[in-house]
Amino acid sequence: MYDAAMFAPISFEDRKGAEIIKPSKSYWLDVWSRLRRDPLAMLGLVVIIAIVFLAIFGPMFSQYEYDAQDFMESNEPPSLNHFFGTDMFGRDLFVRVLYGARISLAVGFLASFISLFIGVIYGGVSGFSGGKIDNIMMRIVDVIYSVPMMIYVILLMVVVGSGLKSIFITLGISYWAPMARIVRAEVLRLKNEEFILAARVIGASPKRILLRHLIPNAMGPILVTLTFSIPGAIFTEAFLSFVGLGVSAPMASWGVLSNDAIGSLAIYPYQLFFPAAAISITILAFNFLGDGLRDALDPKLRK
Amino acid sequence: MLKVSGLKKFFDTPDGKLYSVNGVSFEIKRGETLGLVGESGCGKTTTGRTIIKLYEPDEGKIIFDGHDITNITPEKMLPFRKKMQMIFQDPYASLNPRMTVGEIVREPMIIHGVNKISKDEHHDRVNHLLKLVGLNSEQAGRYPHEFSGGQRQRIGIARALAVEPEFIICDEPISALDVSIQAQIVNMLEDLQKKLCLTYLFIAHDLSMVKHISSRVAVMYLGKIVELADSDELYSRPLHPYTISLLSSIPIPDPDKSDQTKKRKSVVLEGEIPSALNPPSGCNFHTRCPKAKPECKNFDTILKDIGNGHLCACPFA
Amino acid sequence: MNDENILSVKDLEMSFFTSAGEVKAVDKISFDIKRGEILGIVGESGSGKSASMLSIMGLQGSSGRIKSGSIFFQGRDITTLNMKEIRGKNISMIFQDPMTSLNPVLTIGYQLEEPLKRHKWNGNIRERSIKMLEKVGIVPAVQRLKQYPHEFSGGQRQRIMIAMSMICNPELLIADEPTTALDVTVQAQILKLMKDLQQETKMSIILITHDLGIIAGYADRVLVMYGGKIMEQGTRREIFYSTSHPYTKGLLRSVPNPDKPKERLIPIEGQPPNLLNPPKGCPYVKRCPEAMKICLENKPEKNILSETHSYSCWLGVKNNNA
Repeated sequence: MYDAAMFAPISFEDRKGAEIIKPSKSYWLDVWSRLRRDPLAMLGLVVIIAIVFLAIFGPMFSQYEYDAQDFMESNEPPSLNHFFGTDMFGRDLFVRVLYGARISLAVGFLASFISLFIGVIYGGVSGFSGGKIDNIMMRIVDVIYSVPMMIYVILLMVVVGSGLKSIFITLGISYWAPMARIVRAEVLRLKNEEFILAARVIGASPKRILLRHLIPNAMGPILVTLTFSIPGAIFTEAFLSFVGLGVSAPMASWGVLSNDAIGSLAIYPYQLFFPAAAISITILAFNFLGDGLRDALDPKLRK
Repeated sequence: MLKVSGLKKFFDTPDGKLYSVNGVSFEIKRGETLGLVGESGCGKTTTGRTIIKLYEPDEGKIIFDGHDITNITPEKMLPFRKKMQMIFQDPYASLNPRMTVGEIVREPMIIHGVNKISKDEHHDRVNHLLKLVGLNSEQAGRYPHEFSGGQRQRIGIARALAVEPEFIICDEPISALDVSIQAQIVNMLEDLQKKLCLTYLFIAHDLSMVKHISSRVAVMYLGKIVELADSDELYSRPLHPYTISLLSSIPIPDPDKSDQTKKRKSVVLEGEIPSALNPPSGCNFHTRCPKAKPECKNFDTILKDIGNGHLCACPFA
Repeated sequence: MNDENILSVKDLEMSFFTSAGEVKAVDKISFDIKRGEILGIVGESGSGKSASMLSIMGLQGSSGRIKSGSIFFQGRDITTLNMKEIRGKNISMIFQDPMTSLNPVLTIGYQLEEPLKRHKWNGNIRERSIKMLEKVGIVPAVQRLKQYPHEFSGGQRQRIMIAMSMICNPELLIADEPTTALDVTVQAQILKLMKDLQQETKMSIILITHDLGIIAGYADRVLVMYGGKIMEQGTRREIFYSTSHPYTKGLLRSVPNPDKPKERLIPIEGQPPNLLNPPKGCPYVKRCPEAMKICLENKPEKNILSETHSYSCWLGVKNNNA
């Protein structure tokens, strides 16, 4: 049936309603919504948050102090009283592992943030300057790379002296080199993009281009590198403490706890099991999160 | 308004020196549009970028508004950046994906000290600019990836207009867009030119669009201008053999006409553009020129005026 | 079915399933290709022209799925067949970017011979590849077979791609924007080469492009696509001289004709449709200057003007009843 009314012309205004306007979504919201669909990454994130939470508030709710010795209860196996048992001085291992988490996580985060800061600035300046400056700056990074990281760290620890503060400093100033390389590579890739040319054409200063345009667009790889460098720092701290270069008693990092447990490994294996498990779970959690982040940031999935 | 003479720009590559722009001279008068056409690698984009000082020229002079800006420092260049702007080719790459449209359009105002005015005025100006390019002010809070190619190109134009420039270099502004959108952008550029008294350098490889928008057209081949004339004159009476073959290879959207041209055995050029790493001697077109003579590889070509401002580099034309 | 038709597509519907939702790339299209003809397909990005060709080749990928419809090639429905047998032998394809469609670590000789070996060419494989390379103008062919892709320019690579796609004497060649990445002077060479080879071998070509000039010069018949649908189809002359669909009209008006004096261009206003959320009625409704109430809700019917010429628009119905 021909219905003349249906064939009446309509104005452009009449057609507008048909379109559904999606709410504006920033890049990071988009990344987050993709990350949320990755079960392993979310598991990693939940575990990390739980560990951080326990490390901060856990010791407050425990009846034991991390350094309170009780020789009546030395080398107790795990029980309801002492979840993880006690060590040879009768200190509660649960509290000590939680306390160790504070130190290990603090080292992981702080050292990574120091290396992030140095690496982003160094890599950014190097990549953005280009030419000779870039060449010299990157050769310095090559030299740092050519010395095995452990030797470098151990030497520095011997010079600066052991202790928590020197671990922060040492790890911070030795772990920035990979970050600098990543940031430089990103800056080199982005430098000739048209939006950077556009920023130069409107007269933006080099500082502004670096801070407003280059680094925000390199944030993805930077974040992924950061997520992977935190467990690296935690592991190095554990290793240093384990060989006796890190924090010393009665402070308890996971490395110190593992070291303490070695002597009586045959009789009291649980004393090594709990700190070692804490290290493994944390490192695994960060790796899951890092992998998930890398996938969520992958521009190929966009569009 | 702009006078470029003997401009040269070389790039050092691992394979040797790349003669990207090899002696280019032209003038642009206030209010006109000069089209710059040529195939990929002919140096047209490098010419545009060198004029706006994204690259440092190796030789030659750039005079803008009576001021020599050839070797000027970045600080002294800043006031000229307010007068001279650029629109880019790729609407997907020319906007910072982490900034909202409002931030993108506002940035030039902040840099050029228009920030002495209040936040509200900034806001009003951004809205005014967005309206000028056919977008609405509600879109200021959105990110570039939420827009189509044509809309993004409009945002890029709004950014260029934010500093109230007099001269705009349009570097292939429509070649990445769909056919139906190209006409929207070209019409808008023409309207803005009339409204804001703009001067354009319009770089493109699409000859029919260049003819449409330009008052004069320069044809580039391998780093040099081979012919420059009023656009109607150039299209109706091309002289240089390269221009002739370029014009005859444009596909015409009209079956009868294109059948006629095919019957005329149009000049399909043999071979491809030689590498700018090692350009041919003398007239650099002699390797492909259908009318080449033995002496062509021996003399240097100069653009000669053959009347009515029609310049041609071929002495046999 | 007509014996002359080498390929018949019937009601093909194809979607890509992405994280953002279903993208209806091809929405119930039907067309035929006769033996020995060049069928031009024009359309803008997102019109479904490339997606429909990928469906024919069975290359729609893991996210793409043919939802309904059939594709008959020489009488067989190839949507249910293993395409590996047909791809490269009976139907082959050239892509837009000659820089990335050759494998950089293999000699072009090896890459040319690969389809011959795979489809068990009975004849001298080396002779065949030398002959094809000479046909597309890459000489001296014997020496050049040993070279690697980076030793060739863009235009030469596209010639090699053409040689490779035609080496098994396919009945149908699909060329997806074969000259978009090339310069105009080289474009003219490549198009002429394709036309010459087509006349020699009597194969059929589907030529996909966004350039109306190329369509006007090389296609026998034309499909105009928009928003996953065929808007208008007809012979070259019917499309250009008795244009019927408002979209085709708009497209022709929006390009400047260099042979005519300068006049203001008439663009198509608005933006292309979002295929994640396509309009209920005609995909062109938001940009059409002649849109009517019915176009918002109902998909347009096909109006047949001649044996070859048809268009999908409610205006046809209106004109018949007015």
